[in-house]
Amino acid sequence: MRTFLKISILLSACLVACTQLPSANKNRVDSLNQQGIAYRQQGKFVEAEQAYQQALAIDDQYANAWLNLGILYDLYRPDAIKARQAYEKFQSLQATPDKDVAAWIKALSVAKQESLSKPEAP
Amino acid sequence: MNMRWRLSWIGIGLILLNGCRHPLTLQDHPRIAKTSEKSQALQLAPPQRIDLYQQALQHAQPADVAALQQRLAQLQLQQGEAQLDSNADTVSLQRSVELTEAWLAADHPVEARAEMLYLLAKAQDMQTQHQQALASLTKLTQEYPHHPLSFESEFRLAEDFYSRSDYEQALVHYQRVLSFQQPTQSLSVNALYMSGWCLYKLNQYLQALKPFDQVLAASGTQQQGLREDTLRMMAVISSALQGTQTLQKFYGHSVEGTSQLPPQAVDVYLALADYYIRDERWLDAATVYRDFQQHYPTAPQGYQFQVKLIAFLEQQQQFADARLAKADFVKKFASSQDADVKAILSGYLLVLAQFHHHQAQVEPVEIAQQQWQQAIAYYQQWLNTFPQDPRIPEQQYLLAEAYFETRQYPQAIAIYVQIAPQSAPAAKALLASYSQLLASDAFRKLPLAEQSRWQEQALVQAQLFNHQDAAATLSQQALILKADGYYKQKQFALADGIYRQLLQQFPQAVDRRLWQQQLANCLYQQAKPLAAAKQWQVASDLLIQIPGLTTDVALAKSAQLDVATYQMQLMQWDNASALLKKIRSNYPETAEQVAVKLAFIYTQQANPLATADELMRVSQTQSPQQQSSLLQAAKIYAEQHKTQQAIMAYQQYVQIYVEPLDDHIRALQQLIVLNQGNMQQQDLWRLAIIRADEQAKAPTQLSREQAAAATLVFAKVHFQQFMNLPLTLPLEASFSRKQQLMQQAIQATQQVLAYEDVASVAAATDQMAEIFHQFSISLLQSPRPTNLDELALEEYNLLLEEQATPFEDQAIDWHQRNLKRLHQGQWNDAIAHSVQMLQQLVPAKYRRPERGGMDANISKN
Repeated sequence: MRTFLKISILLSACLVACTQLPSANKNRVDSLNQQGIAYRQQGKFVEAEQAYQQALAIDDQYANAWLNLGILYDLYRPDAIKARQAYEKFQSLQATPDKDVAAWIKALSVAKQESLSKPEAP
Repeated sequence: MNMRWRLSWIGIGLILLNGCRHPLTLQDHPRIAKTSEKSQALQLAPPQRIDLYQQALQHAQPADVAALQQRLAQLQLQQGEAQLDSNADTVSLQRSVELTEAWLAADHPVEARAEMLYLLAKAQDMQTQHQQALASLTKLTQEYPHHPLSFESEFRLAEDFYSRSDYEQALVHYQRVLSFQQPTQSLSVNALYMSGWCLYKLNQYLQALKPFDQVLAASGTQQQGLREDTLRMMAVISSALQGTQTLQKFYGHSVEGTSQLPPQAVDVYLALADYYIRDERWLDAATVYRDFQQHYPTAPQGYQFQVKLIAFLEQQQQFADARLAKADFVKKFASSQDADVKAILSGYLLVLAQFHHHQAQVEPVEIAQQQWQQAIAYYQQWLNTFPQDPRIPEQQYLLAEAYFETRQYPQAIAIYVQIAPQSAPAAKALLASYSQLLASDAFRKLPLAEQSRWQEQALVQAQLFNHQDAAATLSQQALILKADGYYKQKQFALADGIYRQLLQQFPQAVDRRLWQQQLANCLYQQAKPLAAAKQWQVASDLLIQIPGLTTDVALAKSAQLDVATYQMQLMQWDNASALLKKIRSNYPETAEQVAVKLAFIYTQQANPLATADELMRVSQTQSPQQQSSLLQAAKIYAEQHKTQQAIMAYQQYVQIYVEPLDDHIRALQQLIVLNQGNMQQQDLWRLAIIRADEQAKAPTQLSREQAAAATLVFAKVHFQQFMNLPLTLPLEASFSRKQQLMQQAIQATQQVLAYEDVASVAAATDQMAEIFHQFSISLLQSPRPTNLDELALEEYNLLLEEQATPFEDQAIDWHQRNLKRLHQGQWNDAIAHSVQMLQQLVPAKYRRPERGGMDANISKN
């Protein structure tokens, strides 16, 4: 029984170790996200996008990076699909969907429908 | 004419008969004497001889009587003739007549009777019984017409008629004389002569010419007097008629007759000319000379007439005409092989050559050339015609001189080379010819190979005569030629050495300056390849000598500038700058070049202010670099914080140079920067930028940007004025003023938008948005009327909001335009501000706060 307990403790510890990132990586992802924000504020949108994506490449569960990437595509480098995907990814990582973000997703859908219903210019 | 004299004359005429056996003369007797008797009689005096014959006659046999009587008559005549002058013995003559008449009365042989008739006529004549004497002679000619004594008797009769002016009868008897077949006999010649005279006396001039001409043809050189008289008569007759035309008619009309022209015709023409000259008829005389040549152009004696004409013209001091006649002679008789003609030709050729030679030396240059050419032609003709003449070297020298003077140097050299070894002047002239040839323009046009050949020849000759002739002048000439030759061959180092030798050897020479100049040229030419090979120091050492040698300002200046350049190459900055300053002082026209070089030097020496000062000097010249230099100087002053100098330089620049437009705009920008704190001045330069862009034919991106930026500055001023005005009560007044300022700000800002410049348009867009936004705020924040109750106030507020909302919508719209620019990839402060304002004005749509720090998904866990 002791042996079983020992094994169980070890397995639990291993699971924790596998589900939690090391702290160095965590700092790195934060740093990239901050860097992305800084780039965006400077108008360096390509660099901002790259920074967010690098952060997500390290940790695709990093919700803020998804949010910030969505904002980037929504407001600064308009791409409604990518924006909505990013927002939705963010929402998926939330315990409770963010109301503001839900509104933004809705706004994007409305904008898309408006753009589809608009006849093309001759 | 006394018959006696006539007889005496005839006696002389008979004596003149040369080698002719006359059958009988009055002195030629006694044929009949025996030899012993004759010898004996000859030893006795005439009276004794007469006595002796008289005694013989008394005792003579009948057969001898006639002979003794004949002989005694002759002796009596001799006796009477001998004593005639003393008039002492007419008895003897009378006795002779009597004896002869007695003899003739008897019957004697024909031959003897003719002789006795002749003797009778003579004795009668001596007794002044002229009529009886003529009768005796007439009888003789009638009875014995073919007897030899009839020939003489006819002549005596003709003479008698002539003496009595019966020219027709005289002519008849002279013609009878001529009818005897003895044309060369003296009497015949005289008969011809007298026939001419008779015809002349009878005014038959043209006919008279023939016998006179026959006299000339028949007479010999021993009859010079007769010939001269005859020629004189023909001249008189010709002149009395039509001169040379008469002679031409007489001797023949055509050229074909020239070959048969009798030799005496020449003498006749000459006699006619002499006659005219004696009569001072000069033109007629000259006409004779010319006419003969014209009538008989191929006559071998023709040259004599030209010679006579020339002599005559010279005697008349008509030297110009005489020269023309000589030239004519040369032309006519150039090819003659006659020795006499050639001798004359030689003299004339030389005289003509020397005349033109002399004229060429004294006349103006433009005429002299023609004279030289004529002299050359005559010299050449003389040399070709008389190749053996001992005077050839002398004439060659003169010909060469003529060639030299007409710049025909190769021809001159060809002659000088022949005579130079024997003649120092010729040697000198030879070298001078080479020298002139090598210096001539024509020489420079020759092919290079030809030039080299001449130069080599010249050097050989120069060396040859330099060694052989110690004369200083020749040596000098040779050295000059050698030096010039090396120079032409571009052997400048060798030429350099010889020019130095010349300067050392001939300190007093007139040409020293020229040599110095050539030496300077040599130095310059030597330095060029050295500089090309980057041997700067050696090249400098050569060039630095030049200013001390040459008076050629350009060369001296150029040499010094080159030295300065080479010292710069050697990075001897101080030396170079010192020399350049000296050059600038001596040659103000070098200011530009010197300033450029000094600017470079000061740059190398890290002395920017000195560089800028030199660049400013360059900018004051007409240099192509003046514009760039001015701009560069202004930049340096600005960098060195020499604000006033920088402003001055930039001001000068923008005033002078509008192109290139970007440089002009940048200079104006600099002026705005340098005038920091001087708003008024800055605004002036901004206006200048706006104007420059407006007036530019092709505005550039920079000009558009800067003009837009400058316009934006002015728009901001309006914006600020609008912002600074609050709305106060009573609202109408302040509202109106605010609205007015808003309109001004909008208009000013719209001017910026018109530039369509990315940066400025975004700023202007932002400013437009701010204008509307601020107006909206001003409305909402405007003071409320104090007399409103709560309800009215609420309505008033609602009303204000309604009024303000459209302005806020305008603000949102302008900001959204910047957002579109963002989506097009633009980003700047204005766009960032617009985004920020949109987030504030339309938060639902634009407020998207990023999240940093702790990740949101942690909160989920």
